[in-house]
Amino acid sequence: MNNDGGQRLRFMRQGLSLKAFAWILIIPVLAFFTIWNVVPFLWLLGLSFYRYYPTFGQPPKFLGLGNYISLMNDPNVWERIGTTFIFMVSAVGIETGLGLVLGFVFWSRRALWGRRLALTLLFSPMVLAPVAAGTFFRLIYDPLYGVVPYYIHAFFGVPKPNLLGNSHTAMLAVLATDVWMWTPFMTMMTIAALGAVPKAVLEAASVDRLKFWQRVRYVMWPYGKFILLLGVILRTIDAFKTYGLIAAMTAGGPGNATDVLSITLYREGFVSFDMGKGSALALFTLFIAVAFTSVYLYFLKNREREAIS
Amino acid sequence: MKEMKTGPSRTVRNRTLAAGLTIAMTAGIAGCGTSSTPVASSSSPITITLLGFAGWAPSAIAAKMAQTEFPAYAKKHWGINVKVAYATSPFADLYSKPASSLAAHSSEYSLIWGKGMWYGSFTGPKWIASVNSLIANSPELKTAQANFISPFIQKSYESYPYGSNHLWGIPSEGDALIMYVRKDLLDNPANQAAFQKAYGFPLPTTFTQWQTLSWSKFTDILKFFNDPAKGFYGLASEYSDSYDFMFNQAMTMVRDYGGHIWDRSTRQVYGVLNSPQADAGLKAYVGLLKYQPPGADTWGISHDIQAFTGGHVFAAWQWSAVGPAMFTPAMQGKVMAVPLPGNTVNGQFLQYSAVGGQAWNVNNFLGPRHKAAAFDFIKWWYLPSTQMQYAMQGGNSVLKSVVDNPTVQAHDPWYRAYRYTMTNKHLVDEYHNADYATLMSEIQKAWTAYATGEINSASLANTYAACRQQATLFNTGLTNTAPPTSCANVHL
Repeated sequence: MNNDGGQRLRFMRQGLSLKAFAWILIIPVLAFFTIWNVVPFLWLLGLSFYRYYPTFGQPPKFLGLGNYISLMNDPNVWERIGTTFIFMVSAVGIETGLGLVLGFVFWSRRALWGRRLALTLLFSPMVLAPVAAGTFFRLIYDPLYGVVPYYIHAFFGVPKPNLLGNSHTAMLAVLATDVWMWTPFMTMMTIAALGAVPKAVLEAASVDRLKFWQRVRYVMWPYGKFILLLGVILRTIDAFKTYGLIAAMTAGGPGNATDVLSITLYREGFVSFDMGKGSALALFTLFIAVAFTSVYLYFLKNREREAIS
Repeated sequence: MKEMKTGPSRTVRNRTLAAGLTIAMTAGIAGCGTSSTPVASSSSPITITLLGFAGWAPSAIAAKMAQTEFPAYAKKHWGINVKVAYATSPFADLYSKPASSLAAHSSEYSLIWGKGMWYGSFTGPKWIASVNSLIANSPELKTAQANFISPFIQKSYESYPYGSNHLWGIPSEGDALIMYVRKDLLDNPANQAAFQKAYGFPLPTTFTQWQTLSWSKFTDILKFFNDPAKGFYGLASEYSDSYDFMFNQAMTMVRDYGGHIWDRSTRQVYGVLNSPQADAGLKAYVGLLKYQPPGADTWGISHDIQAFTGGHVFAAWQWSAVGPAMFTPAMQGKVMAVPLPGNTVNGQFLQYSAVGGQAWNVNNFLGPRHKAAAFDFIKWWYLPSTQMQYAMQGGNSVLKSVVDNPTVQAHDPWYRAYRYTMTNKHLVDEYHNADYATLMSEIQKAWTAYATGEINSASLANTYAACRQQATLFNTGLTNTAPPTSCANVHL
């Protein structure tokens, strides 16, 4: 008798079918998911069709698609989407590039002196709360007391720049902080991806004297791409909804220079208390996040199909 | 072969989903019904939680007094067993933290250091309790009301609608914008001679001389002391878009130049804020950045205090509430607190300042015992001895008897400027309505964009803010006047 049959018998002897047992296991998770995900989502969806300001002390008023139409016609929202994409694409691009380089370095030099300490130090920014990192860097960039403006002044002889107060440099300063914080994550994903390549295959590639790029393309990529692309997807979603770092560093300013969607969303929801428009914007943001995650997944599956055929 | 069906049937799935939703809704409904603090038994201690501003000395002083003095007083005089807890909110979330807590009908914070500007949004949904009957039934509070240094106190800190008899809070602390200047530099004979020679008028060295100083002469003084090569600058002021940081100082200057922020009675912004006078005021305020340290275009309160007490600037345009932080032991004898400069428009000397300070607001979702304890706390706060103690620890009382007390004036050297400004007819308080936070955010976005050089025109900043604010007021039904169609083409 196989193992499945043995289990089935045991459950049946206890008067419980395997299906019932499965349901018993799944119900707590399902209830949790329903309470904390499904209900708030439906609530959010419902609110997005209303005009509702809790601060006005008046009941919600049904608007239909009014909030969505207002968002679509608001040029500021499109500007915010543009700013968010600039931030997201730049951050994920730079972090992936640097992460790949660092990942290869740490993976290929296992006997490197101080490797473990270097890895620990490298990963430490990632465990910081974004608000703490943002506050820390706001002080580092402070033109009067900060270290970065001091050295820019010392090395280049220019006046101490106000990196966060200048609309041309604020985004770069925020990006640099995000890169400092999240490149370790992509490094970790690269090391994990390279670790997924079987040693025997790597040795075979070495015996066959494949060039470095050939090894990357035909040996490492097929095994490691899932982990690496998972990292890129996670970072993309995270960068798209970055809030704490920017809120602590610039709060979206100066002017609109770093005003990403999440900052606008917070402002609509918890400054203006425009719950209807805020909910519509939250759903719109969710839709965008799901859309580009789907593109990644499609790309991944498509490559997989190509490989099989 | 037909694939064997292994998952649960549709009926089972539907029933499970329905059960899950029922559980969720039941939990939600049950949660709604328990939002208020349950009434504690009469013998159990009551904890009242104060929500103040993180890093704000007046909140900290009051909280310390409340925690050390109030429980013993309440036990002795009213026989109640009270504990006082103190929670804080960072400046950036000053409004949104209490507002989001109250929106959830939470009784987490018993007494909130609130602002008159918030009343539009706090009183509509009845988040805070009316204090009309508390005052009417309390001889101590009635006496205090009659003893306020100015009728403006009740209007700004207590009433909503603005200036009405509906009262929602009682001042915890008075505050207004004043100027802190370096007395030692003004008194220096070499500086006096050099300044007189360069600008043709003497450096103002007395409080009376500062009372009539114009912005133009003040700018000359800043120019005189501004010396970037030595790391010393003229002024530190606020240009940050956090909370209402840039708004108050810039609004003061807009008003001094004859401009207006809006028409309070008609709630008309477009055509009022975007005026040549308001543009000139904003331009003048941003122009002061020439005499400020690098990076000052994003500065807030703490930066100003650091720059002034660190000896980097001649003057700091700050709140009277930060007096204890400005008169540090190291700066003893070197600092003078004076009124803000003004500007003559059509033969009238305009010397505006913005009102600050906070009021005690009682959370309306408290249970009866907690609410009674919170009201008792306010009565204790207005005991003459409590007010005197608060003033002697550096807090700004709003009672005439305390503010005019020579001992207090000698102890708190900023009190003279504070009193002068609080009783000045040009003291203003803006945006008392339910859209307050949005209006503030919109105007600060436009003004900080101009201050930081993202846009180069004061006129564009004011027009953008006017368009956005008019649309906000129109969309929320607070005015019937929509912004003009030309606003569609106005962008930062």
